Amino acid sequence: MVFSTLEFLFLYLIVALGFYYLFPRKWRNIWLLIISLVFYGWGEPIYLFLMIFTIVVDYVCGYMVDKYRSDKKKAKTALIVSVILNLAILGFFKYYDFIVGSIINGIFRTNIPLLGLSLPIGISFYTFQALSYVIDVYRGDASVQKRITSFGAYVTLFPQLIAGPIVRYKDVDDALNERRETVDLFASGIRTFMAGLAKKILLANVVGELWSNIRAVPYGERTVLAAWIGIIFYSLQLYFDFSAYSDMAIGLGKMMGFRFLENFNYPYIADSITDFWRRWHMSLSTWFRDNVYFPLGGSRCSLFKTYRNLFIVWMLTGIWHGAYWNYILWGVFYGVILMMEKGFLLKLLEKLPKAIRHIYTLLIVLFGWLIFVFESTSEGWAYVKNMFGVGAAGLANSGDAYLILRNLVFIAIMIIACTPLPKKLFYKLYFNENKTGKIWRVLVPVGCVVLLVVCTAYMVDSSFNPFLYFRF
Amino acid sequence: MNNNETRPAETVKKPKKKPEAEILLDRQLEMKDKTKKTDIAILACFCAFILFFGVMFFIMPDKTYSETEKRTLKQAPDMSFSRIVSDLKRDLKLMTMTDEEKAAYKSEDNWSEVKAEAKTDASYGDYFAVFADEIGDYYADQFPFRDQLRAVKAAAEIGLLKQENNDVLFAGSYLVKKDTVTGVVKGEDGKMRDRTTQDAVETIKSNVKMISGIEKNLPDTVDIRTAIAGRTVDVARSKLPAIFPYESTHADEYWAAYSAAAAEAGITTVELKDTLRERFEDGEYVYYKTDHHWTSLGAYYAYREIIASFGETPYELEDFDRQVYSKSFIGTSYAKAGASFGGKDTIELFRFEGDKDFTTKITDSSGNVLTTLEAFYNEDVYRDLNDKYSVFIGSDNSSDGGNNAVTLVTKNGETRKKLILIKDSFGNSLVPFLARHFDLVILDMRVYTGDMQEFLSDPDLAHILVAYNMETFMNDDNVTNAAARIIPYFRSAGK
Repeated sequence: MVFSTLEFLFLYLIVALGFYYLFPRKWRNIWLLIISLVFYGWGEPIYLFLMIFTIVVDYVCGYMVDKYRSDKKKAKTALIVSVILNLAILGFFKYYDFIVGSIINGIFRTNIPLLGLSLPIGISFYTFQALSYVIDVYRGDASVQKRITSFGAYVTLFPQLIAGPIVRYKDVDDALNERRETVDLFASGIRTFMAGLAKKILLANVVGELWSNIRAVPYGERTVLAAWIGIIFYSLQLYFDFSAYSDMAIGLGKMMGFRFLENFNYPYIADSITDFWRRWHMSLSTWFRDNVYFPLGGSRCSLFKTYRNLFIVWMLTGIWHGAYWNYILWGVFYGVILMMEKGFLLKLLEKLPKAIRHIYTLLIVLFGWLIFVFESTSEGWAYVKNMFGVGAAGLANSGDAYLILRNLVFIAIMIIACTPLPKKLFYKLYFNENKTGKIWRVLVPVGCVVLLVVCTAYMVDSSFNPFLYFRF
Repeated sequence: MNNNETRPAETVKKPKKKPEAEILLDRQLEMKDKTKKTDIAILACFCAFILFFGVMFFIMPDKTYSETEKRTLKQAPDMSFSRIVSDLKRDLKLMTMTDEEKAAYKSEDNWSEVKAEAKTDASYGDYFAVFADEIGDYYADQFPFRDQLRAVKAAAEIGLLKQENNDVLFAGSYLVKKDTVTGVVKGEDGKMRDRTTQDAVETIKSNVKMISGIEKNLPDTVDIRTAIAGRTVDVARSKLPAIFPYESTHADEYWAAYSAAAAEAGITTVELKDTLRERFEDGEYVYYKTDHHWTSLGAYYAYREIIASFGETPYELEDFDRQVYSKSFIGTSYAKAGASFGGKDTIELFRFEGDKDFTTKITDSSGNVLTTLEAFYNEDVYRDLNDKYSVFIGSDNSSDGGNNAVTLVTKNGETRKKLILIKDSFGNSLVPFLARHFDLVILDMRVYTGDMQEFLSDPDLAHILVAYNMETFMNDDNVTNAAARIIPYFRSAGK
């Protein structure tokens, strides 16, 4: 199930939240587990068994780690079992066909059949979350969860189940056992959720449709300008889509008393790639930092090892996104850029004006998405060639002008939405001691309803509702 | 990852700043008491909103047909045990198939192309995926106040100066479908893809070729000609938004392909597009504002051209009695756009003295009579429905959308020269005019699958007229069906 659908908002959410608050506290985690499993099984119930298997394995491993805390060897064994099993499941479902098809069959000229399994939704997200529990317990960062239902609720928690943010166990450890749902947290959750919903429905889906139209133009008929606009539109779609999902997840979490960490911090205002990755999908970066980069020695070792560590982390980040060469290339691309920035580029950049740093960052990011978006190299290559005039239908045509002109207001809104401005403004007006604040605090509930009406209207009258981070 | 590291050696030398998010949260908490009322209000509004629509969805009865959208609406999915069993059986069968077999199986199974495409990769559990899709579609189609909500979206798009909604342009008081290439074809890679401008041009060419093929086989007593009507976008060109580039509709390419192919094949054509565009620019109401069809007046002007091309004299406008049938017609363009600036359309019926002496008989493919009309208009059945264009030889059988297989128009007690009209829905409103000159056999080749011998062997047959609108002509190759039945007949009958 996806948040931005009518059946989620007007059926699932009512049932989920309604019973959540009807039930006494001690039942709420169980209810969360049940309703989250329904959420997950919607449209794809078979992988529920896989999900339950993961829960049981990690629950038992976490328990063992805690039990044998004094016996390092046994604790470590339990940890390793958990890591291997989780990665094996992830590897099998996500990477089997890639490894066999693209690597083994290619190198050894074998003909091992592919399985063609469809990817369990959100497997990359929930596997990392389940792993983080055992690791956190092993490190003593979190206490063991005795109730399997509560642990199950953590792994399956429907707000962030299928597209993150990847919540570290230690961040919700306390909330899982005892949390206080309050009116102001709920209201704040609604605001966050609404911001996400609007971003997804009114921005991501709309710009996404524009991009998919440009992408669908056959080779030779696309202009250079259209190709550039296209990839810019895709960048916007990806950001709005993904960050909207995180916003909605965080908002839904707040509605039930959870506080998840932010996952995005206005990545497109970054002034270096290093800065960009501090702002984009922060929960994934943090996970890799805590669980791969630091254990490898981080940068507290020789120069060679530091760069090696960086390379490994970025390679893995790429692979995490999907079992295609383009994702690996994309990861390596960022790995190399970050190494360069670490080595000398960052010092160089600091001397340049902010605008230039910003343009540099956006260009790199744009090219990153160019690698990211095309799983088929031939399509991607043809598109890149278009961007530089090869096989393009001229520089620009009247159709491009129309595309830009008719979307001028929309584009302006999107640009503003990429900056912290709206949020800052909102806070300035809303949390204001004097009269402005009073007026705003009356307007906001009204605005909430208006926004809901408009979002519902766009949901009702739209067949275009893809979800980009679904497959990861 | 290096970037989030906070070890002293690597920290950038800047004064420690509190993260923005925390500052904002602090401010939130300081104001907690002041915002309490608003918080409650937000909570109440949100819950009331989702509850209202959530409950209304169950209370309001499901509709089967949307009059504003002119389509049947999705119903609650069949959740019966027998369906689950049959679907699971199908899924098991699918598991053993190759991708191609799967795709073929699914298209036979009447799955929409899109769904067949999307689900080809799934090797199991299609049942549940389809089931979830069905619930989603059901929710969207039966959602309370759907029409009003669609209008809200249209208003928002207009407000953002987008000039169009769902690919329909707001052209002054007119609603104009922007690009009318429809349908899918099998691409070079074997996958279904949307048809392109080039595909449409090819269809136009092959249609002309088919018509020329018919012409070559006709006996001397029978002739064939084409009369292709413009789409609203061709006719209402002057009303299009200033920033909208007309060439992006590729209209010139289609019309050029049509003229060139017709000239090459040497078939007779009746020019309607420019004629009606001139009329339109003179301010005449020749096309509907909310529908893609021409008005009765537009059809009248088309009729003049057609009759003139036969070398006969058309009746004048004064020879008809123009009656208003409906002043509240809302058509297909509105169905997509969801809003308009031009208000509703008026449908006129052109009557003349003695038109009661005509009989119109509408039959299905097997010759079963669906409706018999005095004169030409099916007024009673469609007066209350929004699909009022069906007043033009629409049948009582609404499931075929008023596109009837065979319609016969005769003048009582008189045998006249016969004209076979191969047409789309544009041809329907031509009928009252042409009937004053000929007995008509009106065939919709998109629906009609029966034999044509009966009509072709008629000694009174004089003309075959292919009257399509460009939108049908560039998307639909059913002229081929006509050719496939006409050519062999005349070949075997000998010229």
